[in-house]
Parts: sequence; structure tokens; C-alpha cells
Amino acid sequence: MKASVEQISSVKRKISVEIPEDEVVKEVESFYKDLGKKAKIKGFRPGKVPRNILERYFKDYVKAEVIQKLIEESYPKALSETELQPVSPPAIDPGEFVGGKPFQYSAVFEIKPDVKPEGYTGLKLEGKKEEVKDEEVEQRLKALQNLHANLTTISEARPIQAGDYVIVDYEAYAEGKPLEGGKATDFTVEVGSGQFIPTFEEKLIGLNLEEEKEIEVSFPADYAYQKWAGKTVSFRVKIKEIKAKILPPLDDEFAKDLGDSSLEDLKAKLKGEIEKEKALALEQQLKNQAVDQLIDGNPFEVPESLVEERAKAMVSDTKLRLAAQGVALKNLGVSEEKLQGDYRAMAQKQVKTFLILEKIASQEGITVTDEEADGRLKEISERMHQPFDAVKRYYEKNNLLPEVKAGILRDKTLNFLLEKANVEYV
Amino acid sequence: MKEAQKIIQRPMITEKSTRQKEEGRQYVFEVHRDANKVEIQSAVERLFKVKVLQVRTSNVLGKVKRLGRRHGKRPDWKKAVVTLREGDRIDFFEGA
Repeated sequence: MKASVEQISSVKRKISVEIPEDEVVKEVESFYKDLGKKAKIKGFRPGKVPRNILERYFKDYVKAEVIQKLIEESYPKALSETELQPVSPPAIDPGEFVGGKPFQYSAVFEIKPDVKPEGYTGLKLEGKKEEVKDEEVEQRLKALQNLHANLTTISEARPIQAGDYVIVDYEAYAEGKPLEGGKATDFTVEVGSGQFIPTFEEKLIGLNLEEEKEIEVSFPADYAYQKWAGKTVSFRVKIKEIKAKILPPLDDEFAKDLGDSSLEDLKAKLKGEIEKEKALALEQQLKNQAVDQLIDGNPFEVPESLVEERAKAMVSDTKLRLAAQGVALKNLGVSEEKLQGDYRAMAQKQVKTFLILEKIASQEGITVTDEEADGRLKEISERMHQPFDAVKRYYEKNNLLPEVKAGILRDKTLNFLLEKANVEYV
Repeated sequence: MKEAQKIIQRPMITEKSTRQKEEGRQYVFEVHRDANKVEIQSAVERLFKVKVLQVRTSNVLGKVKRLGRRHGKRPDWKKAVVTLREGDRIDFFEGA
């Protein structure tokens, strides 16, 4: 077997393989021998069919099979001989198959680009260290307060104000006819939150208990619920109950309910949380900068197939996420192909990042141990409230461990880059 | 009984006919039931552009086949074994 490599581009290779005649003939003979034992042809007992008759019946079949077998056997050999590692399935172009001649074929595939990352130590990064302001803590606290608010039915009759919770029955009509799915009893609306239909909420303000009213709402043409988009719908509303939101007082008692000893403690805890979030955001920002600089500083060609694969993975991720929310992709009017096209640029950047980081890791001798992978799996198992063993088995079964390890490797490499970088805090 | 294509109905390619071809330049055909040896000879000579030395024929009686109580009979047919002059051959029997 002879193999020669032709360079099409920096990531594309064409490999031409020639298989000598005697090997081809041997293959063909052994194939006919096997076939002759099994083939049933009228006028002959199985195993007694002469070769030339077999050839007449099975020539094309044998040809296709032998070509396939020859390629299957020689392709991996050719790869190891030429020391190439393809990242895409080969596009094989089988040559002429003529008896008494060596068989030739060529395969085109993509390899990982030969990246030589340079200047990855001492990257100039800029970050903004932000102090935690008191207002931010207050804001967090208010959100907590809101979360723990009590709803109480108002004691004295008064019209509805913004911020009230109102329990209503409603029925929706369009052009005098009741709408499908437009009827509800004991429906709770938070007035002024904008979570239901904003205009509807506005018009509730000022109504009294037990009052019945017709509210007209015209929906914009691009309304998310397509059945109602562009229509004017009138709602027949009956106010059944008005509830006011009573916020708990912010004191040590409130803090104790949340498991802290005093209000000061709670504030300190919140401050710590915000600090942590900010530090994380800063780190992420620095890492993004580092990656951007690396990509700018080390231009190289990216294998198309990797980008394609990545974009596909991103599309299926999006689909899963949407499915979890109960939305199908086609209901949003986006085709899968279009989404994939949109993700292309992002996918390309990701692939570039992966390749550069991988190379830096190998240059710097950064590796990932099994224990580290186990540690990551443990984190995942805790987040998903699953036993560690089950998670590990799942990852092993679906061959996801290399992916986990690659992720850790990238993180470690990025941390290494940050350590070596000149970070300037503004 | 003029048309050669009607007289020679199909070649018989079987284990036995393959052996006869290799050992004695004899080619076997299924022929029209009413054709005689002279007609077969000229038909083979015209169709395959060969020289025929000898034609031997036999009537083959169809087998009686039965399915439960019903029985039927496969049609009778005529077989012709044609010997060619040395060096001549009919490509049709040669496979590919």
C-alpha cells in the first residue's frame, strides 16, 4: 500500500492511497470463493457454480463490496502511516476499479490546525474592580422583603391601587363571541406588575370590590400569543377580592426567619454574596478579554466540520432549553437551519478558543487528573441532587467524560493565563 | 418455421451443460417443439455465426406436479444439443 498526502489548505488534507494489484486480486478471489458457497443460481447446486457464471450475476456487487472493504482496511493504515488525525469524516473518491490494475482512491478530510500560540503570557488585561455599595445590599434586602410579603384581604373597602393583588373572574370576547381559552375564575392578577396583560392591569385600577366591568384591550399585531395578536378583545371582569401586600418589617426578627442571627448578619451575608458574584463577573470579563486577544494575535484557519458540529450542538441545546419551557422551535417562526447559520460566528469563535487553549495546555504541560474529573462530577451531582455514582455511570455510558475533562482543562488553562497576565484594575 | 429466434427459445445454462460445453464443444438449448434438426442447425449457424457439426434432440416430458388432490402437468419441451466445429464458440454461455 502506498499513501501520499496533498495539502489543500492549512486544515484540509487529501490523502491518495494505492493498493497493489495482487492484494486487490487476492481480495476479489476470496470474495468470490465465499460467495460461491452461498449463491443460489438456477441450474446449479449451491457451491457448484462456475466462476464465470458467478461473475455474470454478481460483478457489480462484488466490485462495490471489494472497494468498500479495501478502503475500510487501508484507510486507518494510511492515516497511521502519514500520522494524520482527522477531525471530520473523510469524503472518499474511489477511483476506477479495473481488473489487473492497482486500485487507487483518494480521501479528503480536515485535521486540527497547527496552532502555535504566541504571546499568551503577560497579556494586558483591564478589569474594573467594583466595591459593593450599600444601595445594592439594600436592593437585595428589598427583594427578599418582597419575596416574604404577606397578602391580606383589605379590611376597609377601597378602590384598587397599583401593587394590589386582585382575584377576578373574567371572560374574553372578540366580536361578540367568547374566545377559546379566554375564560378564568379566581384568577390572581398583580396590578402594576405587567405580568399579565399590562393594559388590562392598568384599567383595573380604581375599580371597587364586587364591581363588574367590561375592559377592552387591543393587542398589537406582534403579540406573542398569536391567536390574539392584532385583535381587540373585551374582557368581562368581576372583582372578587382585593388583597394588599404587607411587607414584613426589616428587623432582627425578619433576619431570624431567614436563618440569620441579626439584621446586620443578614446584610453582611448579602454583601458577601454580591462580592462573590462581582468577583466572578470580573474573572469572566478578564477571561473573555484574554481569549479575544489570543484569537486576534494568533490567526489560523478553522476546520469547517468542527464549526458545523459546534453550531449543531448549540442548536440542539437551544431546542432543549425551549422544550423545557414548553416552546417548540417552529412556533417561534425560526427554522433550524437559520438558527444554525446565526450561531455560526459564535461557534467559530468557540472552536478557535478550544483549539488555542488546548495547544497552550499541551505546551505548558497542563493536564487533568481523574480525581479532578471526579470532583467536577461531584459538583454536578450536588447541583442535580443525584447520587454521585449515578451521575458518573451516566457520563461514562454516554462517553461524556472526555468532554468533562476538556472543560476542566480549558478552565485550568484560562486560570493559568490569568496568573501570567498583567491585569490592570481601573 | 423460418425465424431463428422462434426456433431457439433459450439457452440452458446448468451444471451439466457447462460440463458438456467444456468437454465436447456441445451447447444445449431449449427449442421449439416442432423444429427439426435441420432447422435447428441453420438457426444456430445464423444466430451465432458458427459452424454446426451435429444436432441431437430429445423430447423432455413435463413433470406431473400435484398440490394436495389437484394435479397439473408442466409443459413438454424439446431439448437440442448442438456440437460446434473446433475453435467456434458461443459467447452467450461464457458469463461476463
